[in-house]
Amino acid sequence: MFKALAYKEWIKLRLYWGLMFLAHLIFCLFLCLQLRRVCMINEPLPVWQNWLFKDYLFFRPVEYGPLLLGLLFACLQFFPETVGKRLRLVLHLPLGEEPAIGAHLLVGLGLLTLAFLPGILVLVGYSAIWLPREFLVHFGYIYAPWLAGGYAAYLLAVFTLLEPTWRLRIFYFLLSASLVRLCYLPSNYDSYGRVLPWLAVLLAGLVVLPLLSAHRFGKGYGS
Amino acid sequence: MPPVIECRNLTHHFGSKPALRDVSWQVQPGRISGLLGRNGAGKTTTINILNSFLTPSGGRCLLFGEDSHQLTPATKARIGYLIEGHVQYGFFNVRQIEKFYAPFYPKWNPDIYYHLISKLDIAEKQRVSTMSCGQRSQVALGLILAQNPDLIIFDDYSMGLDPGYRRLFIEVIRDYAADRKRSILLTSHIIQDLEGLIDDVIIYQRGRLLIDMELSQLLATFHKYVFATKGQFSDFYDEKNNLRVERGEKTSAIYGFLPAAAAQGKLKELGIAADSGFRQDALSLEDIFIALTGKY
Repeated sequence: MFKALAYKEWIKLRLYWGLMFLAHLIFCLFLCLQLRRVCMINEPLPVWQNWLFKDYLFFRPVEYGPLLLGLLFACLQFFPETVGKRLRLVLHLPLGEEPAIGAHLLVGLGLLTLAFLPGILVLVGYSAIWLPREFLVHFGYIYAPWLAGGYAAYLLAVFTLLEPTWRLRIFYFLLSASLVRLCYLPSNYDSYGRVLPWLAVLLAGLVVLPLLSAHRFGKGYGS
Repeated sequence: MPPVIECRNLTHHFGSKPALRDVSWQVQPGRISGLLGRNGAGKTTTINILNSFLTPSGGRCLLFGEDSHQLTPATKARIGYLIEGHVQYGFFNVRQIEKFYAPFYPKWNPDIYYHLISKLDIAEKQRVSTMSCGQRSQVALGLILAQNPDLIIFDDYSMGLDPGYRRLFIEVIRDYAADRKRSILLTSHIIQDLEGLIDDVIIYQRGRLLIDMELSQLLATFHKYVFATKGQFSDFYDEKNNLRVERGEKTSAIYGFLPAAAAQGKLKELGIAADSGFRQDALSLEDIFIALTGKY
């Protein structure tokens, strides 16, 4: 049954996902070229210095990429389910409410991870050619909260979209904006290092929220 | 045999506005029941409660003996549900949508679905979103029948359909239910289509249960008598006794569950002269529905 739901989501999203993946890939290739240029003109040391003293990072332009991808993907996946209350088709299937919505989230998070992949590959793959390993670990500390922001944006957008009442939708939107902001606090060298496990815990907790909205949708709250 | 659907003292409010008031009725196995009512009478509210998409303020609905809010997946697999407006996934084509639904239903029979689809002028790779409303209705119907459900709930199946597709829909339903092993509950505003289809009729009026009886009994016992209009009198309606008097320019009429003598007696009691041209008129289900629920 999970296979059938995954098939449905793939048919629905393959075009949009393909376009998103391609756009992200092109953007990341641009970053690769930029990194290559900087490293060929200078040595890796100025990259480090610029980061430490001028807060300049070559991959800073990708900061809000995961956030945008997460938001867009949530809308593309779940907005069609709310039009004409199509979600009722899924909720009427002979499997529980939580497994049905959970399968949708799993597919969404999986495709989102694949869409994030070019960015991750630029950092851990291509950068390794030009920069020392220690750079990469610290790049990870910078990039991981942005990725977390993407996943959080996806889960919170689904949470908001599936909520059947406008009053709570507005409240959820404001709450979501505040939570996502936690992933985008001004950061420099290693500042998120100790917080990352807690961000992971927060993300795991956020998975419950779309299930709550789907339950309220299914029970006809606000109608 | 226990009823397939049982609504017990169903009550629901939207805010302070009552939508259903202490409604109780049943659908017996192998029967086709029509749930009728004017706009806002509470039909869709009931259907939503039956499908667990709404929690009633009071009372409960049982489907195959299970509470409609705690249906097991096995029981859900026995219930086919057509959402108002023949809602389906527009991004699928004809084959893809069949492939998606098939694994969920143990008794899935694709032949019924493809038989219905073969009658339509659509390409195999045509997406549902590009189909006409009538074609979409057949896709939705085919997917429900392929489930081989023991109970089908059709919420306003006739919405947006032209007479041809309406007729086709009725014929397919009739053939499907001919073995008297499956039960059907349907709602529609095209009441004349239902007369040769349904066995039982349930009529709502402003959230209350007005009629719950066999269609044949309703047609046999509910009467209309016409008479020449004389003198001044106003329209009269007695909801408790399902009695209505309508004044016309030249002829007036009295409707109700009463024989001719009783009708004449009631008119006399109301001070209405009906001694001229008093006779019984034939009634269709739609006539009865309008007589019971009114035109306004």
